[in-house]
Amino acid sequence: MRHNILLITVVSLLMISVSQAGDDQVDFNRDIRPILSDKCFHCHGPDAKNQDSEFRLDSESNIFADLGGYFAVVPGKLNESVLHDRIRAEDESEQMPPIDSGRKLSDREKDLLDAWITQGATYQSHWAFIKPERPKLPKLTAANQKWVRNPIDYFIAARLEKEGLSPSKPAEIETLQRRASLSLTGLQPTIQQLKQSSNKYESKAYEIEVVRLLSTTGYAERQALRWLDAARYADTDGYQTDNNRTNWPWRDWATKAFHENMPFDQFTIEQLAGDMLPEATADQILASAFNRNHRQNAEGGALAAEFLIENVIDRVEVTSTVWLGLTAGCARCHDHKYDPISQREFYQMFAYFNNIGEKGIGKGVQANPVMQMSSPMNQLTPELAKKLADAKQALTDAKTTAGQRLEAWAKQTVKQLDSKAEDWLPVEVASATVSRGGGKLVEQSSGALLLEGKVDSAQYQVNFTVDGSMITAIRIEALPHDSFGKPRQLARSVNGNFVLTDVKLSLVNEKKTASPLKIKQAVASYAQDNYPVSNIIDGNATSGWAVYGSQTKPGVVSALLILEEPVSVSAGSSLQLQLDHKSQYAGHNIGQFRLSATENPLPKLSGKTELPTLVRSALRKIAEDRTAKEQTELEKYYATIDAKVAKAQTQVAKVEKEINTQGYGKVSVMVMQEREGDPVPAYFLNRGQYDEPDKSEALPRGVPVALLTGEEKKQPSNRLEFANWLVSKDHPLTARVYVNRVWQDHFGTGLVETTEDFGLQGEMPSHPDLLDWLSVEFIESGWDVKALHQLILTSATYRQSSKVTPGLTKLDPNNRLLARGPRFRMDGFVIRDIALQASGLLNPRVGGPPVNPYQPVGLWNAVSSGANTKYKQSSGSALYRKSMYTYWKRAVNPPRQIIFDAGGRETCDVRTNATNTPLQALVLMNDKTFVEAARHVAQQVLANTDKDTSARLETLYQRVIGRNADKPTLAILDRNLTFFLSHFENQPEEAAKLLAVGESARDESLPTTEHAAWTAVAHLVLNLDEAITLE
Amino acid sequence: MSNSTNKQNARQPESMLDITRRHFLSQSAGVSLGAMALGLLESGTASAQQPEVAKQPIGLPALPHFAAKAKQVIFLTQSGGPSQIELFDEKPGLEKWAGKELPDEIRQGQRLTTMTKNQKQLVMPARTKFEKCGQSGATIGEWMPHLKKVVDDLCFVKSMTTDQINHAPAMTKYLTGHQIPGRPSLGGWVSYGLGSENRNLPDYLVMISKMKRPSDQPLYDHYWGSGFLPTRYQGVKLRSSKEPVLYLRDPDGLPRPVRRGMLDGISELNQMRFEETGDPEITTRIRQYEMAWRMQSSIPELNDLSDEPESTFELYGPDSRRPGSYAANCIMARRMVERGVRFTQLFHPDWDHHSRLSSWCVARCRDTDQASAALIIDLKQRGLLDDTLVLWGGEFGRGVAGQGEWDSPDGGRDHHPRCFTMWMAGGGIKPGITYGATDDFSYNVAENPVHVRDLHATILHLLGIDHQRLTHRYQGLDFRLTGVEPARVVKDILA
Repeated sequence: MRHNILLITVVSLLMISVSQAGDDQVDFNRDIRPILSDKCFHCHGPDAKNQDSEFRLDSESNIFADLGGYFAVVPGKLNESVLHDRIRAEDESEQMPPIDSGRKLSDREKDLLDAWITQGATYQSHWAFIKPERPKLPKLTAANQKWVRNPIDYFIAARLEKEGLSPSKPAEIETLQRRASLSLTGLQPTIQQLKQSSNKYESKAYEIEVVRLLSTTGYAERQALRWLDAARYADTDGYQTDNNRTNWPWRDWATKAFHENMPFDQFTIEQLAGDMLPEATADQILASAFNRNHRQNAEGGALAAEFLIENVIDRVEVTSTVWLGLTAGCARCHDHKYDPISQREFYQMFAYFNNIGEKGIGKGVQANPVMQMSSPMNQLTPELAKKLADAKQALTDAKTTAGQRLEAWAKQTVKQLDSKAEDWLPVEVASATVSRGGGKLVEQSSGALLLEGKVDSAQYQVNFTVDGSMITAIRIEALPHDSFGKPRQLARSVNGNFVLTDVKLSLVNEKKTASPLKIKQAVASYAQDNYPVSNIIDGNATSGWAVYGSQTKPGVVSALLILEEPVSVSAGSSLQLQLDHKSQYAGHNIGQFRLSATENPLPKLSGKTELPTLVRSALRKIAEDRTAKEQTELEKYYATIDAKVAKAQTQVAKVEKEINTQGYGKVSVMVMQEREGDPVPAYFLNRGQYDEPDKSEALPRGVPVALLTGEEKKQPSNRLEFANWLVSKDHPLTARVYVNRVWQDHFGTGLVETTEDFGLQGEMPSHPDLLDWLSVEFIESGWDVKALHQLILTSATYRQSSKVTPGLTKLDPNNRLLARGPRFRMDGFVIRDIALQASGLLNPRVGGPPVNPYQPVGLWNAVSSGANTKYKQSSGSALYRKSMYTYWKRAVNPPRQIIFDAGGRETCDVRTNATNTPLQALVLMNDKTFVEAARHVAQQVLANTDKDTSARLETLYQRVIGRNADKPTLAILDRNLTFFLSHFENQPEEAAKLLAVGESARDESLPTTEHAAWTAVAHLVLNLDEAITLE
Repeated sequence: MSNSTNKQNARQPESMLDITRRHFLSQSAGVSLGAMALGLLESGTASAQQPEVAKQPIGLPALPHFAAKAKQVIFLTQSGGPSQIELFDEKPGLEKWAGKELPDEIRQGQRLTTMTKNQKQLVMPARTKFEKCGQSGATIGEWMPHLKKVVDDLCFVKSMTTDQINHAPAMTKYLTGHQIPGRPSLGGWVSYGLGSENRNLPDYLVMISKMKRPSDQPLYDHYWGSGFLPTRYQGVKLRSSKEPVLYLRDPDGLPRPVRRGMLDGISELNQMRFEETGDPEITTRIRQYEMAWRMQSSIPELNDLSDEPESTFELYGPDSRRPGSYAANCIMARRMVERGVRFTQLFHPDWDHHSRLSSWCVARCRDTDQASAALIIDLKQRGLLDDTLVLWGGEFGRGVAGQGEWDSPDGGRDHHPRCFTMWMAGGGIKPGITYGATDDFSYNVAENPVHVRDLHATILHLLGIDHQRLTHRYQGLDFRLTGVEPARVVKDILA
């Protein structure tokens, strides 16, 4: 990017101007280390193994080392310093950097290196690895002394003084209010707020407004969104199959934490090690999902061992970027070329994150450890709450009246208890055939039927008799066999799993006439997700019952078929059971099974009816003879089997299901869960390859030694201690890195522009003392995030006008000196949200499952390999949720956000980018979202204001831009309105078409021509630079 | 924070002239705005034939590093891993190994996917017959009869090799130089380095074949993404639908004249804002709106094959009349080259033949063979082949062992990263040669290995770029397409 090259030049020019304007003292960290790192470390840096030369420039001892009678650097003595000779060498074979390295020192850089040696070659550790100390506030000129509002401004003003610049005027209050609202909440101020502020033109009103903004859920959602990018949060697993996952309760956890202003140290600890906290709450375990937002591979050929390693490495990389601002990933394959992270240390960090017993492959929703969890931000809607209360009341009522139905049941049951009804009766198989698919069923001495032959989609037909008069249920036991596929071993399929799709039972009389028997219910001892046993009696020939799972081992699995009416099998008649396997998977037929039957009126899989002893004895007595205790137990028991109660229970379950569907229930969230016992050993991986571990040594856990603080340099012993170490008071990086990202949110660029890299190749801070001051302040405030935002937003620096003067553009095109306020294009999330907000369509719901707003048709086609990956557009108000709730598919990211530079959420993304492309223009001009929003803006304006055109245009502009329009603007809008009116008058059919864009209804009382013309004006305003720019 | 080139060269946008004129006209009485807007429409209409008013910003200042042999690239990406054993890499000795276990000294512990690692590695000889074709005598399997006609224009590299065995990581490596998503794609790097030749169309266009039956081979956006480069360098996907570029079509009820009027209103207000705030980003934005407007004409014009003579469709084959087919996309690729699009990439999925190789692989050949050959013929007869580098290949090859029963018609082959074949033509490539060779089992590279990164270095070289010097600083590192391990330009295949 030329932009960066230019920027580097500008920054170095600025730095030079500082050293020239002020003292001529060369500063090692500011002037020298960047040169060494950029031009020399590639061959003389920390990655000793992969360098030709043994000479290193990456530490004090290395720089000043005795190289055998000569020295690279002799402080104060240029002529004795070989470094000087080599960089100035005329002879190409002597010259450093070598000609063919592609690296070259500029004259300015050579001069700086020489000056440094001459001045005594003072060495400093890399600034970011030294604990920040609170610097003193600089002294200012009287004018600037008057300008400052808080300590931030001292540092900014001092730097401006050095450059001979002065700060800009304050921005107008409405501009400022809009700026604060957008950068804190991603929303516009409302018209009402604008009016209030206009009346009280004073700074106090602004400060109160900042506090109010910080208390809104909009603030929390905006901060959470920024955090989602850092945490590579997505709604799918990535990789080939890109399955759906449901980690969104974690997203809501983050929103809640920001809303409640959870201190950043606690925020850190819960996300990195919430599962390891003593008596961890469900919310704390949920927080640990941070480190499970990695991609998860379920591709057919993927190897578990490989992707387990990838997952753990992802955790190390993301944690390093988000908290340490370091590119640890470089050390995966070799020692870091620039920063003090050895490859060994990389795998020592790895050792904190590899101990959760994960498998490495498989779908995310099943990728253990997972927890069932609902969103902590969920508040049930009143309608649903009432529905649930009603259903629960009905259940209570049914239970209350159950006693009245008890006696009749008791009488009937006691009779059956006396028979041998409770046992499982063996059946006698008369015939067993494979009626479709080939192969045969062979009866074993155990009474089991074993399938022989290679068969696909088999259908079995078994005729059997049983000695019983009142058969209530049939049991099918699927039995493992050594010759079956592992791990399940229940079928002759690759993994030993079967899919039973359909079951039919008939009674065959003496005349061989079969009459079907109705099966009331099917119950299984185990069923795989999405393959419940109810599928075998649902009349759907392809849905089925299967028994695979990530933790399954060989073992018996049973299904119980409970009959609607008990059946008697008299002599000469028999039962006929048909088992069908119509799944798409090869060989998924039950490989061996046994049938049995029961007369138990309460059939249960385990065999014996679990009638408690007291109930049993109570049943044998008439009501009057029962003890009080027996009576209570009996009533309690009966309530569990009463038909009315059952019905009421079904209703409760139904409402609960509805609650779930709408996202208020529990879903599967991938979390961290440290294993008990000895930790899984971590090894050095040669070249970073999963299959090349050096097993000669299990690496102890540890962080890079260069980052250890305190006297004893104690290494954290586990993940929880690691998290505590990150937020210890002495930590050099965590506070700086986070403060810098908050700064970036408000000014568009961080004090360190390379938000993701505070290492030796990262940019030096534009205001190092300010960064340190803010970091210390942040730590000492108790890691108070809201206070940090408040401090920045109420500074005089932030309040400046963003007007750019030609002189300033030349001197500081990217506004790094902050002689003016911020002005930058907002991200794609905000751009859509404020359009929805202006239109009144924005749905204020916070949290919940992701939604699918408008998206061009067919976008997912290139990646959909199954029916469940078709894009299903949401309907109703779900179309207008905030953009942070848009379903994030890794294979095809939401197009609007991506066109506006959002990161792909494959890996962590902490830097913002704001390009300016024709595709962005196409989105704003042609996306249905903005046309529909324009229609509603027009509708709001036409319906809610008087008929004065100019007043209407003013309102329209205010709604969209969030500030008042000036006269020339209104004049231009008026002209355009006239043009659109005349167009739609002549082309009423076009007006109708325009007004039909989008799913939402139109206010039919508004005249079409007028509504269309105003829609066009609103659309024009939505496309303006100021509509999408924070200024 | 857009590219600072735009900031530096903030020129008057073309529409500025119109705005001035409009100001002027609005002073004079009796001129209706609608009529003016229509007038503006005419002057603002863009078409491919229209001469350029101003050059788009060209890429990096130091580029090209040396004289380029190729100006444009067409990459015919065959996704899924076409079988080199059936298509190009003839191994007559395999028959006597049929059904026998692959010798250990050949396999050398090569990793397998979980699909076949529990299966014996029994040799399955090629399912096709080969013919030595043209003057060069290159071997092409019988499933590609058309390609034989252009064989002397092609250079076959039989010693391609990669490190990745599963699709997504292998394709990511093949197209971005690294197996983990997040790096810029080859096309993105080229567009970043060299910039555009055409101010009405994006530099980098991507097309995916519309299959007759739904494909199960996902193609991810990051295959043509810009990674950490600014998004303007990512490939723009042309879809085979009424809206080839996302959001290209005017919404219902806002026809072109109204849109033009609206655009002028936007420009006028943005210009006013620029005068107030002085932010050069606004000038860039005005220009990008004009580019978007021009794309709304240039893309449909590009996409509209109705001006192609009957002979074109005859040359590319019957499937070329089906919009979105590989053959139709090949015609599109030629049209893009004619219009100066820097990098055109086609994707044809479903070359992943784990089973029923002899029916499915034939079907993929039928989809692509005639059109691929036609593209070479067409470019050549129009004199475009000399400046256009054409590449054909997939992310890896297929193994010599059968998957499933080696002797059953249902047999297939598993993924194989150790060797695969690509062909190239045009733009500085030596025609009519075969480079590199594999062992007797088409299993290991026997001579002149060409790693994916060597391929990248060579492609960049042909475009006048030194792969070691095309870098971008991100996270404190100077990244390049070819990564940190040594990559070589394959000089032997250069003309």
